[in-house]
Amino acid sequence: MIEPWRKHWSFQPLRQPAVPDVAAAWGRNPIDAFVRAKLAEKGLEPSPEADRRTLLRRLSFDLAGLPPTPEESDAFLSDGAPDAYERLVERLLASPRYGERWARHWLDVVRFAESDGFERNNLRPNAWPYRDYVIRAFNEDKPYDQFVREQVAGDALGVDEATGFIVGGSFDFLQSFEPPYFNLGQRADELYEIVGTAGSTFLGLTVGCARCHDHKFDPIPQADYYALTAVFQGVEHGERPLLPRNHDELIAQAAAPRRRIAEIDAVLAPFAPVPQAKRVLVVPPAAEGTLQAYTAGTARGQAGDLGDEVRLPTLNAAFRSRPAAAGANAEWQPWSGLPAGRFRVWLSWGVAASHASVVRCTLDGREIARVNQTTFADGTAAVAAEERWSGFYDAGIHTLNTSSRLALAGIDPDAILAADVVGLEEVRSAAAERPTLTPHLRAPVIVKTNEERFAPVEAKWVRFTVLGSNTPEGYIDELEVLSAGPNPRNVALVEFGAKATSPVIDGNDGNSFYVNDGRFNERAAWNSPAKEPGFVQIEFEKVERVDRILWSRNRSDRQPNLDDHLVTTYRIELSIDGQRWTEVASSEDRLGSAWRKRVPVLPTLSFVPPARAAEIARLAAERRVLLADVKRLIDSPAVYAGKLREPGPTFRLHRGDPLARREQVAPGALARLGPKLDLPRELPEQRRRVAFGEWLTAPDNPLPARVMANRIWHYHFGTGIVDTPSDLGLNGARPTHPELLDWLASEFVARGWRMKELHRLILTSATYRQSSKPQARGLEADASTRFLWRYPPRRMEAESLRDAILAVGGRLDLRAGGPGFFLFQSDISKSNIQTFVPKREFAGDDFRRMVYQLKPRAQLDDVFGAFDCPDAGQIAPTRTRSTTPLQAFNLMNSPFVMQQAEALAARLEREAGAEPAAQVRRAFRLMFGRDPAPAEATAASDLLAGHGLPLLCRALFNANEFVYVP
Amino acid sequence: MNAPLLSHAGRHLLSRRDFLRWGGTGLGGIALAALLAEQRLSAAGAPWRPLIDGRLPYAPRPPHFTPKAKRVLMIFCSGAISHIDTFDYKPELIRLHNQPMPGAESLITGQGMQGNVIKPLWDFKPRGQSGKMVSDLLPHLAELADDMCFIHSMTAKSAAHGPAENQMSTGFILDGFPGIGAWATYALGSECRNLPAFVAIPDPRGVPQTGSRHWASGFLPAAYQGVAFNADKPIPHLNRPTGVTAGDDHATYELLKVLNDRHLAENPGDTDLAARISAYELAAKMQLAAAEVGNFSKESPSTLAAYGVADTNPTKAGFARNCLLARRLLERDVRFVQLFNGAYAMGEGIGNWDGHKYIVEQYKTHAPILDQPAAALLRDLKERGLLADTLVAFVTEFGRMPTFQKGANGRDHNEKGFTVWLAGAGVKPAFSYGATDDLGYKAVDKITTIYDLHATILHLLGLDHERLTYYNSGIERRLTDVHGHVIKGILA
Repeated sequence: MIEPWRKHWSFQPLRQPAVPDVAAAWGRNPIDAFVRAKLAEKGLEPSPEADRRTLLRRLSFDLAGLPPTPEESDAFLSDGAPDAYERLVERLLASPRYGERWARHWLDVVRFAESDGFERNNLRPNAWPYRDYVIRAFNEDKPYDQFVREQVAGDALGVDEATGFIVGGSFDFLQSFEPPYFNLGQRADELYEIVGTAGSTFLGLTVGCARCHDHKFDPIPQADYYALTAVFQGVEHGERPLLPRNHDELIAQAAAPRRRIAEIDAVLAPFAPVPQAKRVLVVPPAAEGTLQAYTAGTARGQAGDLGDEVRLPTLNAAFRSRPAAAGANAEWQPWSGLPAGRFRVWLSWGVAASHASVVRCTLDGREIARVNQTTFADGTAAVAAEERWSGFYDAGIHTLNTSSRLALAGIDPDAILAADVVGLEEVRSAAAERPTLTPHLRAPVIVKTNEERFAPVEAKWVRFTVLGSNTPEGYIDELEVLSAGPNPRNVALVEFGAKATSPVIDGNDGNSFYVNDGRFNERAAWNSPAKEPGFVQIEFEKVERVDRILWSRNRSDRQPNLDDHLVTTYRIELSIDGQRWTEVASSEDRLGSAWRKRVPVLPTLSFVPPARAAEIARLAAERRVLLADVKRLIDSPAVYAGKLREPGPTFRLHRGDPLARREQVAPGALARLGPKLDLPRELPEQRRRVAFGEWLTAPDNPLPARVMANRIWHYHFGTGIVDTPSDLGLNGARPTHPELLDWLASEFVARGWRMKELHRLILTSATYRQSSKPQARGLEADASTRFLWRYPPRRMEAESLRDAILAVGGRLDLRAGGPGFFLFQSDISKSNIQTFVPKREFAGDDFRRMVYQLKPRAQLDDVFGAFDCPDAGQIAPTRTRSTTPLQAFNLMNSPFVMQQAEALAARLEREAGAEPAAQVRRAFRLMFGRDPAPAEATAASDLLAGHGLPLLCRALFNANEFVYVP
Repeated sequence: MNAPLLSHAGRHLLSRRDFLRWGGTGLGGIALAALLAEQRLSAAGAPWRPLIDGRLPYAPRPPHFTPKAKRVLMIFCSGAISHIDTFDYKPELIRLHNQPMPGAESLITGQGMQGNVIKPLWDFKPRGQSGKMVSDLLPHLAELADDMCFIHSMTAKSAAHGPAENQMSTGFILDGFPGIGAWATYALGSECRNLPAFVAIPDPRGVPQTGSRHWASGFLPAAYQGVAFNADKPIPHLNRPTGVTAGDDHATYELLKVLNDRHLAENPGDTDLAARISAYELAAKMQLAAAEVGNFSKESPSTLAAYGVADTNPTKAGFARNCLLARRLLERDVRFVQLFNGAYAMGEGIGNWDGHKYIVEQYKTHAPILDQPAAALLRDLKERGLLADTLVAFVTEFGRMPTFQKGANGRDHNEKGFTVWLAGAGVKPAFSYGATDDLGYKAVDKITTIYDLHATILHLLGLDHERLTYYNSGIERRLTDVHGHVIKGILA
């Protein structure tokens, strides 16, 4: 027996059917012959052509989503040329309004919205470039096959933002909590959403149904589903830089400065502040003496000085001063609690002209240095009327113990002494005893990424020991160990076979799997036990040569204010055998975590010999300028179009269970439909998507052309030839006009996949130009007008309705593109979920076309949402069209409509003068494109006279004729 | 002959596939669908879609079989109310108090590691004739234990609030699916001619975690979305704008009638247009009826006092007013009322039942808000005879752990076993069904799913959950996905 799918209509090769030979003389193009033949079969007659006013209104809403202006009406109605209609079609297709209108349809199909959905429902402020891309694609009449390929692999085709398609759906930022590999289930759900949408959008098939088992109706084995997940495996929800169109050219321009940067980097490399096995402490002066702030500003030594390669940032906002007249040679001991050991002692102070010019620094009563506090540490003079930080002064190498007294004393009894931080740089080796410009110091630990660099070394294990944290239990959301050499790879990732463990404490081994799951946020974090120390270690799949470690408490941008559970003291060790460990980095040479807010970045180089200071400073300055040049050339704004990375292997999951891995699956497409697509397992991820896009649009893939031709028909007539536009499979509906659909689809391909060509064919057909008037015979036999004995009239969609109200009120703002306007006040401050409160007052940007609203998922507009606006929780290949009393409330009573009624009233007064009859006439012309009938004029004038012009306008917004497309 | 009555929109609600497959001509399809609807039966398991007149989307429609319940009240405790501190009595927890949970060495829940077992935080006492053990946390509701039918073996698919709230209200953990109230009104319409068929009453403190997803219509027509309002926040845009009088509106409707009648005369038989005219008529009626239903001036002082509408705690008084509003809606035959207790506007555990950190303090705040008003509502429904044909379902998204979280004084999420209870039409009173283990950790006896609960609620409404479907994007969708069994053991 032949399986039913082998005979299924949509899987057959696409061939252009013969146009039926219809005896009756009716029609303008082949479409009409197909429609006429079907009507004849059903015993139905087509309707006569609609009047011109109706055609203009229909075309305007259909192509532009806006009502015709009275001036456009006059022009068209008085145009006696035989091709007036065709020219109208051309004018509307050429208008930028066309792309805005038809992009909205596509955005429904692909479930596009600008927030994550689920409970957090975070906004995606950088998702709009995809919306603009779609609008541009329609306006430019981009060939549909190219449009498809770009949305799957735009990053390879020069349109990065097009891959916003892939990640346009919802994304559960919070994730579920199923240990041990909760992220696997979460990721599987994301891929299900992505693969399902790609399948429904381009193939018109419910591919997602094959996630757990072979598809019940269509020829999609479970393995095909997983081949498709392998195609998208490297795409994750998130933003990536949007590359400009002349990216290659800019890259070429950046080559020269980049070469020079590389040269400079080679000179500077020996001075990189990489981890050193020694303590470096910065001890602030204790709370004695007067606190005095540094002068505001960012210049050298001012309070906001961020430092540079040869100059430390101003570490404190203020210094302490001992008032004058404390007596000559009286010891002042600002620092206490010094550590024991051998240290290079670095002094610093507040610089001011009024300070003591001779200050003795003593250690246990012995003078170790004399400094001039009217100058910086390097001897430069104070700046008049300012207090600045001196920088560090090398007071030599000394041995301290815990009872050591480090003190200052003046010679002049009237002089002011100023003390600031003292730096203690441990001296462990002779090499370190050579003088340097500044002490070696690494940046303080921060909540986001902390980096540890070291010379390349072979290792199979890494161990991270938490010695202390700012609140009990240090969190680490991810610990990455990067391979040495070009194209570094995180060898600690679970996907590459690495295993994380932490010791069992209180019968619990913690949640170490979080530490290498590739997820960055506070919920997917390992935590050390409350009683530190505790550690987590990762065993790599094999011995790796590594030279860099990255770790963070919370690397996600979603919760930027987290500041607790931060590991402040730690040790990182590597091992080749899991027995003998070598420390590669620790917190001991980092600036203390108390500085993490003030000095999150520490640009200063280590070990610079004073003799080379000028040279290094010059090179560093040159490098900064070059970097700015390169950045200006190649810096790109971020766009929510998916983060891309090379994925690990893909497996078939038994019954869709992410823990039940079966055989490995190579990327691919549907095995039984369309051309064959055999791809190697290891294919780089971008090439997988490129190949899939080419497979989709290959000449022998019969589905995409049929699917898109049907969608276009669907939006022109309100219902598709197949009325399940995203399911042309065995479980979908059958086409009412199968030959017509195939004819359209093959014309579509033959005409270069140009959507405007298909529009032209359809719009110039007699079928489209029919009257929409009901007829008893037609209603009786085919009430839903599937066989097109008339043009099917219908209520306009939410977006057209809002745009139309704004247009007739004269307030519509036609500025195109860019970030959307927001119809809510969102509030995330009180809780960790997003709440949306509808705006009550509208102005400015709010009057742009609705396609430009920043559309949150699962949150409908307060006024127009009730008009069957999809909430983008799921794909919406068709919209329901319901009629409810809530719609009446919204159009009668909402502040938005009232405001627009006022706007329209003002416009009428402006354009028609004070005379009521003229105002009524103008209102009808604007709203319905016609003059009022006498009874209407009387009734309207009565309302105007008794209740005012704005109330008349509000009434007209509610009229059936206004909201129906004839 | 029904066909000409059907508007384009109404007809859209019929399956085009069946229409084509069976009919060949439109006529045949419609006739067959109408016939099936009349017979209320078709081949077992075959999809059954209500026959909807587009002009009257809320008109009452016959169920699949004789129902026990005409309407449903769902009380939804957002944030996950702890079953082991309320209705699921576990003496073993007292014995093991402050000891590690047996077999929980490697147990990690959403917020991390578990500490020791903690006994119920309120004492349990036998209640009513049945002697059902209920805690002192909710003393007023406890008095009504004899009216309740407990399901102690409920399980959810997710232990995260968002997905689990979605599941309890829509059957799916994902966004975008219709709520159970939307399904019920899609199937049955409403006996009430001047109020929405499905009303969601958000807590005075705000909306639950997944907000309007509870009452969204998803892919069902927008007509079936729940209308969200409460005693203090009316239906959006229900009231006339400032400065517009009843006389203004009357005149406006007069003009609209002139315009719409003329337009309809030019398009005779177009039921879409007729549907819109009737929607405006319904809106006008609803404006009055909604004002009336929210006006408590005719309620007796004893009723007002029983609910606690004038309580000094403004949140409790607000919830009490919501409870009274619920009764008044049910009394007027609104089909489905979803009453929320708890909101997320203020954050985790502050305005809801999510007691992670200081559960005792948190529940001492929340319990009085729920207890007296909800008990008064249940008692009031009973005294007025409404409970005979109203089903009450008291639900929450999941339960809580028998342990405290490590380093905290609260219980983490637990989707493996929790309690919901039903009362009223068609269910056994003073009955307990299924059980969790000795610690209340995991359902072990007669394990029940949310699908089962939904199947049972639909069953009591006279609907077969396997046949109530809506075609969307290639799939014949059901509230219960491909799962669910009616919980026969609890049916009266």
